[in-house]
Amino acid sequence: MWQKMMFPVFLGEQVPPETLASTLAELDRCLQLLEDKFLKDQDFVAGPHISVADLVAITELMHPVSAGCQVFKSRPKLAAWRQRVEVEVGKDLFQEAHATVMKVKDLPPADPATKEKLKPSVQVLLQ
Amino acid sequence: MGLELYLDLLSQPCRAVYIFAKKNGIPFELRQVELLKGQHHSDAFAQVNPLRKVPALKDGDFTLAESVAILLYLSRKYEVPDHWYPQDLQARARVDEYLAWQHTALRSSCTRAMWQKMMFPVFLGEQVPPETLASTLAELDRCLQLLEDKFLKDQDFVAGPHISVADLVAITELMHPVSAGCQVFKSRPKLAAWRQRVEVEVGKDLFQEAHATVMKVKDLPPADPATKEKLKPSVQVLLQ
Repeated sequence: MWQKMMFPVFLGEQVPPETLASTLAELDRCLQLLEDKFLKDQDFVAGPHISVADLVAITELMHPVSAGCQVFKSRPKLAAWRQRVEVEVGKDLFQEAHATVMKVKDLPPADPATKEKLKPSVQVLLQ
Repeated sequence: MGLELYLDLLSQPCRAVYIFAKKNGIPFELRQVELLKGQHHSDAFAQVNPLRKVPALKDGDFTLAESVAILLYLSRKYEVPDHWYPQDLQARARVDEYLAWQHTALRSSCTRAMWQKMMFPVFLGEQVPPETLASTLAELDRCLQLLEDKFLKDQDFVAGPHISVADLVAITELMHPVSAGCQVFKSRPKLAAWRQRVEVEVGKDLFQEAHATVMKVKDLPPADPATKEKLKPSVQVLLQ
């Protein structure tokens, strides 16, 4: 999310294409493990019922989604799970919780003072 | 078949699980998975843990990955003394808090410090840029400061007045850079005193036994070319 959106859009800092590519590959690897090791043929991440694990997982996945990563597009199993989670949580609450992050792509670029303040602590996210 | 624990005592989380099981007299079959021989990549082991990592647990047909999950499963199943994972709401929350923080903080910097200072140059014959190592040791130092200031504070143990699984997880992490020659405790008397307390609680023999493998790693002969080829791809990420 930071490499695809926050650095270029908000901080005005270009991210090397190979860094982003490597990050997206790692994301893909983790999504595969989420499907194969955790979700499997279950309705939810840790079994037949929604648990805190699903809340932790879905909020994570919505992060790259907010940056335009098509996380669910080529993964029907995850897309179906997302639907189930949204129904359990309630669509209004789910949208309310994600309103802030979904609007981040429309933020104006940070002013220089903000950039100076944020840059040191977010450099590690460029790896 | 009873409880099986798939471990390589080279690994910090394996040591924590090993100490916990032994200290509490939990009967188990030790299944060695030698990381430096790439045994964690075998198809047989993937049946136990598709994440291909150690520690892993097999209890009858039930398999479990992730050291924290394993420690908590064992503490519940074998009804160990309360202090390991206390029932009290806030005391337990403190242990949970440490267990959650440490994955991306102390674990990450201890692993990198040990690999960059010792495993890459000595075992894999791969030079690590001095600025990379310096940056890693600075991050380790930052985490140690947080361990002292946020978690240990003026308490005897990391999550309160009694030893808990949090201390086992923390001490086994700190022994990782120690095995590579990092003087973690030398300039930090508070941590050194805590370490002594943990060793006494665990028992010095068990503590030494659990750390025998990692303390000998610096004396390993360099890896042969085949081993290097097998290991290098998966450890490149530790060079960051």
